[in-house]
Amino acid sequence: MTLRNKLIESLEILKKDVAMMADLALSNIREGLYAFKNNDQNLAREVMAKDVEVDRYEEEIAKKALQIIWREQPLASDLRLVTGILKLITDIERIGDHASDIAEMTLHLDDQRNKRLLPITSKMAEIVEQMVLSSIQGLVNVDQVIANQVIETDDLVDDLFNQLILKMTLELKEDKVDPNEAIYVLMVAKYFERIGDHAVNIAEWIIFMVSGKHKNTPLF
Amino acid sequence: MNENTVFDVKDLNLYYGEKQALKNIEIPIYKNQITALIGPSGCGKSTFLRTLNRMNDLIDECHLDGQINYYDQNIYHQNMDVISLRTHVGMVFQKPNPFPMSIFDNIAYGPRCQGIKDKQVLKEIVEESLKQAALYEEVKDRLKESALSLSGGQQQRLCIARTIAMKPDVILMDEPTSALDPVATLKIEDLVVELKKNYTIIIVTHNMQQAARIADKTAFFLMGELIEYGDNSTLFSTPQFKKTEDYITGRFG
Repeated sequence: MTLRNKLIESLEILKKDVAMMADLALSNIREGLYAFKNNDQNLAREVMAKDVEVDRYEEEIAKKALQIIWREQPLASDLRLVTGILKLITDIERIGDHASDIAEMTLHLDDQRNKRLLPITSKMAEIVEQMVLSSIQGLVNVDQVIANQVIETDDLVDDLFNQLILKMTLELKEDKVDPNEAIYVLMVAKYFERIGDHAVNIAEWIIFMVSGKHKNTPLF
Repeated sequence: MNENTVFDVKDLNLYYGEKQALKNIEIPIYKNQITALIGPSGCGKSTFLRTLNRMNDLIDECHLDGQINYYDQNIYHQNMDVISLRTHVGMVFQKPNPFPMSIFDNIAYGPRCQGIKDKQVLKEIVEESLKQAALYEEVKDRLKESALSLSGGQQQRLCIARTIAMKPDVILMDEPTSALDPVATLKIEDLVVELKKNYTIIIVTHNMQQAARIADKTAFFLMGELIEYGDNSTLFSTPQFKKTEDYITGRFG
């Protein structure tokens, strides 16, 4: 039995909203990459337009979190959860922005009609998508173990990005790739690398929710 | 026990007849700090507060063992002067309880009992006490009026002034704002924070936000046990024990 059913219900709704916001951002990432790989400019524009919905989620979640603070005055784990969510939705919003950025790269290469295979970038996309998914799973279950795994995984993404830079540098030297194309491919990969960083930020806020510490610093 | 320890409570057990109301309480209380005691009704927090100036002596069935040192004196030692103890360790109650006499006489009552007769000295004590209790400006022109004419919040500040007039070292407060409206409550809270510069304050409160707002340290009691005691910044954000977490987040019962 609990005396705070309303608070608990509000916190569960808040977590679900964050999960839905992250789902939307992830869907935009997938479609953004698909648009870039396939030169699908219509899809690219759709993805860019849908970023507004991610932003709207951020506002709605922030409103609900603030309402919980003034109405329910949460303490201890409840306070850490609400404040952690207020922080991590900024990272999800940024992930949404990067999905839009990736889609936008398609429009910069509108004179090139060939499809792109992008094996390294695709691998990066696969890993960061899983990182974002895991971080949200870590939020729903307030699970520090999952959060730590997300943080560790980021090294793989960074390694892949470095590999891609080396590969592109070599191909540019050997005139195997169009410099214009190379720049935008690298930018897309950089956006994925940044999405990985945002997943790490989310994971760090989950660790705060469990321990009250952010990057090993007690915030209370 | 260090030089900032006012009370050092060791292995305190208290019984009302057969029923044990406090179990193995160990807690130090520090000088010029506000210590809040929280916990559900019947947890022992008010009982514990009253052990600190031996108010429980007035209850027939009550007996205890263990030790409460006030500085280097065991206050339950047979040679302890209880009247002197209560002068040093004053108390403010839940419901404002002004005496049915003038504002001035309410404050002067204690000093007069101590033998102070000089009118000028008494006047100075009354003024200083009312000033410290942040009430002087509101009542300075009507000190001869009955204290019962004051509002609830003013009456409680009068009771605080009455306690201060005895020049105590420690002030015990047993839910001092539970009978007051939000504005009067905030005035008392401001006053308590101001008073800690000169006094050590121990306050029982049912209002967790109040404990979080004003206390330096908080002690959580449950069924006669002291579950957790620590700095406010830790206890209300990252409590160490699940029972504390469950209580302060309302997942209790």
